[in-house]
Amino acid sequence: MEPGQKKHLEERFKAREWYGRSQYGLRASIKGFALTGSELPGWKIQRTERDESAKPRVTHSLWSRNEAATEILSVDFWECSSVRAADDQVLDVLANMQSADIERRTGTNAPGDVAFGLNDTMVLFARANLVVLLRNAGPKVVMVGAIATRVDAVLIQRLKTIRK
Amino acid sequence: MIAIEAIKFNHDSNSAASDALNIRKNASQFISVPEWRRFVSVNPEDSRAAYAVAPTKGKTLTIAVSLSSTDPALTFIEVRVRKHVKARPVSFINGQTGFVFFELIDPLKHASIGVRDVEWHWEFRRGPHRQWRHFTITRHRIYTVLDVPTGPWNQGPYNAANTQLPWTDVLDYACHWADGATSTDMAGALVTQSVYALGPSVITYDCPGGGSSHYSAGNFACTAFLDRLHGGLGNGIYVNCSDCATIVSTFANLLGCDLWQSRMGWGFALNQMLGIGSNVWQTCCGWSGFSYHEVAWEDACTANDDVFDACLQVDGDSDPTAAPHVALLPQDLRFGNPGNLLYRDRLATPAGRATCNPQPGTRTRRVVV
Repeated sequence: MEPGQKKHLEERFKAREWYGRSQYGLRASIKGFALTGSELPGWKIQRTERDESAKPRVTHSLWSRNEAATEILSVDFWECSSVRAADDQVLDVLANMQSADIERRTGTNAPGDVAFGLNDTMVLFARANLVVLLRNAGPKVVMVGAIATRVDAVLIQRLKTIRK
Repeated sequence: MIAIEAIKFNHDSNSAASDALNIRKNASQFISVPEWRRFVSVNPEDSRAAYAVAPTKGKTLTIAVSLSSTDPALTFIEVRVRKHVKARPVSFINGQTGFVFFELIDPLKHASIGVRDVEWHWEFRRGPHRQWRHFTITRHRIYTVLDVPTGPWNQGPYNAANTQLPWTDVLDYACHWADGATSTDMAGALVTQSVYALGPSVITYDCPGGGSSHYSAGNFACTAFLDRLHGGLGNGIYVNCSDCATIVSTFANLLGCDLWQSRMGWGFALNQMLGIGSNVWQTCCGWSGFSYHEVAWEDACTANDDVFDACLQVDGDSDPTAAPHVALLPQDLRFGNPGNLLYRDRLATPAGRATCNPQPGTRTRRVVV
């Protein structure tokens, strides 16, 4: 990322308040995360692509909910090497979002260790070393907040299993 | 019986001056030479070749053709395609000529971008004073671009592993969109218009996602975008400025333009505009402003260089800060400085112009995947 843009984003999103922190500790890590297709009840995976050569590794997936495929959800997962690397990836994703109205989500229902969103139609969050971006990809816009919470619950369950 | 066994359009992979360019079909399919093969190539799309106008200007273009004969008495004939391939004598040894070079007749006479399907009616005669006789037909798809494609496209190394060789799947659209263009500025403008015209049915601005990149985060997901153009899902319907800048510059550069993807910023308020796919004048999606914006940009991507923006139309009248609005799609429009009434003034509010600065450090050409 261009240094000037990074500085702008760090100031705009007050990165000092959230960078390098995780509810599950700095060593919390999920390795080899793969979608099974059951993560989003009521949604069907249309396509999933895992890019092993990307740094960090990323899985792009498209999900649909109705026959006409007008409701399409894009869900991307980045598997980073650490919590800090995940927060860097959050900034990288924000660097490719044009809106000046994207805000940090801090409510009790906000998913992840840190989350950002616009209305309820896009959510970006980091949980431990994973970064998740949920957004619309179809003409009929759907709300993604509850879906993000559901995905986060799957990740939390994985973290708890790893701890045991 | 006389037959054409094979035709090589790209017979010299080290040059684009006397033959066709090095090309491939898409990310996964290579186009091997000879492009036309007997019993294999039937339709024009089975035999594709692309020529660049600039390096071939004033040069003789040739193809390499291999012929066969089943008549043992036939050792010497003349062969031609009227209006397309200049006549020349060929000799058969054991019924084969091997590859021999034929000159093309004025193949790029219009010197403009285009794609056309040609049908060549091959003729032969046994001697200078004998009648020409038809013996076969070959069909080809010929692309004409203005110059050798620029990045991310390249011409080497010429092998199946090089996915940045020009894709004919992209040429099919780009040559159609910029059909007839005789200059790179004209080609860039026509590509910009065509991309903007894809809205709202094929692509539309990503209001729900905060204007996020769906096709250009990292590399250019060109395969997915082509799928979208073909009526498939692609990466979905939404695009942002980086996607549009990447599509325009990548498609235009395939035609010989020399554009970059580059950003401006950081954080600025907007005048009212028409985002791609929208017919409502408003600040983009009603937002307070852009965190950044990205366009297809010429040369060094500075205030003194021209931009092509397929993501939005600005107000083109004498006061871009207020209604009434006159829609202007930025094509070959100088970025400018505050007060110039050029691209910057039309995009950003008077207060926002100070932070809507060219960021030439972001200048890039995303790899096509």
